[in-house]
Amino acid sequence: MAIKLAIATPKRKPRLFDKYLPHLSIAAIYAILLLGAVMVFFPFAWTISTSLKTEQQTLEYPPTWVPDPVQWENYPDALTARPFGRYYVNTTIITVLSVVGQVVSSAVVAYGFARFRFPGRGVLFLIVLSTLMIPFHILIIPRFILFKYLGWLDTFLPLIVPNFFGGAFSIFLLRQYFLTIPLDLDEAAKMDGASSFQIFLRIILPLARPALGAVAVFEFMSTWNDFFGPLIYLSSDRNYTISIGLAAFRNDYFTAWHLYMAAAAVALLVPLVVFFLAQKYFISGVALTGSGGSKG
Amino acid sequence: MIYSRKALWTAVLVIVLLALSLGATAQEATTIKWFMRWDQNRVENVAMPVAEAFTEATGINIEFENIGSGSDYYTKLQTTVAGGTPPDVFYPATHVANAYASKGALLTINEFVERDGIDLSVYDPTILANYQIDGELHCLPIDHAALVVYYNKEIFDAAGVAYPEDGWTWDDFLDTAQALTLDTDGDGVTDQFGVDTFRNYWPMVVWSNTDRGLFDDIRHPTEFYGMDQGVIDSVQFVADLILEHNVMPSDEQRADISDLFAAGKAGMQVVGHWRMQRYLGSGFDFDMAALPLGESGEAVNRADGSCFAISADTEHPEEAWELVKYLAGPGSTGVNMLLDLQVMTPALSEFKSDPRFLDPELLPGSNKEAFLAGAGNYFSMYDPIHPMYSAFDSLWKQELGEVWIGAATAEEAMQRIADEVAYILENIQDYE
Repeated sequence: MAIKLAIATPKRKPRLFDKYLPHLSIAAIYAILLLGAVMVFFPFAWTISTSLKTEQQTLEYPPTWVPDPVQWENYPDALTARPFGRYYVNTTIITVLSVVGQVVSSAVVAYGFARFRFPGRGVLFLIVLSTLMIPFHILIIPRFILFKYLGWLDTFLPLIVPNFFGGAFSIFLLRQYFLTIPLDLDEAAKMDGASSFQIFLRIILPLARPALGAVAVFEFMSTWNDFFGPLIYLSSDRNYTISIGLAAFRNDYFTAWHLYMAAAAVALLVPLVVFFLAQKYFISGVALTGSGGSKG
Repeated sequence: MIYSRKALWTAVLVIVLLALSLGATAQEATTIKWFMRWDQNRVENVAMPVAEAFTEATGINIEFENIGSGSDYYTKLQTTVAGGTPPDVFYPATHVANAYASKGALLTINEFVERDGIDLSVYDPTILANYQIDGELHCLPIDHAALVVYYNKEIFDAAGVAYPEDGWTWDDFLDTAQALTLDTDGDGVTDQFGVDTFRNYWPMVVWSNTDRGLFDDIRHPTEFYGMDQGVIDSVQFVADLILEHNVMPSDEQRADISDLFAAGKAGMQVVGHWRMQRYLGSGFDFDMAALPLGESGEAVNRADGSCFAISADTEHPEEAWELVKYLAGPGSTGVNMLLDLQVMTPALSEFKSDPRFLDPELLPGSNKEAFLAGAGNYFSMYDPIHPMYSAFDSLWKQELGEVWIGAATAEEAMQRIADEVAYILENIQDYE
């Protein structure tokens, strides 16, 4: 074994290049990262730039980057054009409750799939996963009719309550993560007299924080940005969300880009803060669900 | 943290409270739902005051909702209609109104019209006919999407080109566009185009050359005229503006700028009244000219537009009709307010000759009559007005897309379209 290794890696002559190689590779990595950062930052910078232009400047061809004069008043103009404060509150209520609902219900279901043996478990899990494959569009009208009969139209309920019934994607993600937690821990707790629910609360959930965080962040982003749900279910101005409010600056013939971007920049603040705070979870979420998929 | 029992119960409690507070609202006087797809300008300056005046005059409350983007608007409308909670009054475009009417989703208003003694002859007959199926009227039209050629006087003056005159032809149009197309810095890249793109209005060029639509019957199509030489030549003419004469920008050249004319980079723009507000804000001097004449020698224009319709499922047909009448009826408050805004070409003849339309304070001395050219020769841009239109629409967009980039000639593309359309027409019952 040792001999083989020695043969496989013959000592080569040190070259001048070797001294700089680590530096060069770091430089290359930074260059690639920088390029990526610029690409990601570009639309954001464009949003800010456009939000400070006059209406005429937004049309300029070729487009210019630096607004002249800087139109700070676009921000108050945009935010008072519609009751954005109200929209912000509405969006926050819907998002927070949706995240809570999604995380709590999915965790419970995932725990069941990960830790209990019961007849039909495989089939049930398959059914849960197969709901991911139902095209969203064919559900629009049946769901709308359902919520109409419940008297929930033009309330936040159709946007929040379904989240309390779990989501296939979150359940899958959490179940896979729970499976990686050693059963020994459960058994040790059981020896000490813990019930299944206690094991769930005291052992599984604290250990699954990265996965729970990832689910919460995904849910946050999708609910905060959701346009279609609020469009269909909400109809009074007082119930609108930010995404619907933003659409007021846009119609088929004309978009007031400067105001649209100003309002969008403000709407971006919360997701941006959430992203920075929850960055760790977000990235672990990508690692959990990404193409690598080595966990679970 | 999120996994405590307290949080779960708090969440449940909040949900219940929300349900109680938002779910139940008591109804007093009659309230009708009015669902629109207007821009903020019209919402604030027309919809809001009209709704207020209407409630004051009739005691009927209005619940107003507006979604500015057409596709989002129609998605929501479709869902609420299918879900059995349609708005009482809404605002479909011609082809949508027909699709809804053919499915029985619109209330026919003949009885109301007769009862209230409304003389329908005050509407342009071709425009009104868009909303009549077998003698039944399904809504009251408000406008039609008449096209004109907007032109930037400053660009014309700088190039020493004469302003367009009445009766100009497509040949004159091409000459003018060529004179306005400039490479100002000599780098081989066009900096100023003669005209911004209007290729999707190619049917309008067809009407002007052939004086007829694309099908033999706009409601019951049995024959497609796509292989007529006049149609082929019209499509090729539009393509050549891009490919051969370079007076109209290609997609790459436009670089996704929403309006090159407003940006001062195109001398002319073929579009309707709805862009007026934008051009008024652009700061340059402009005017309108009637559409150029084609081979037929007849001025033509668009008949299609939008109308105010009442849902067939409304619980308050009387009140809804009162609102429609208030918005689009002869002498109505709604049309009056819209006229002042300079946003549309009215469907009511009396308003077409109104000085507020023809000689507005916002545009002193302008040629607003350009919008009225082509009366008597109105065609629908959505031809045929039939459920098969959506299939035809995606078909021509795909095939003519090849023509606009020079990958196919108009004749080749029209041949392919004609073959497909022949198949659609043979199986037309599948689309109804």
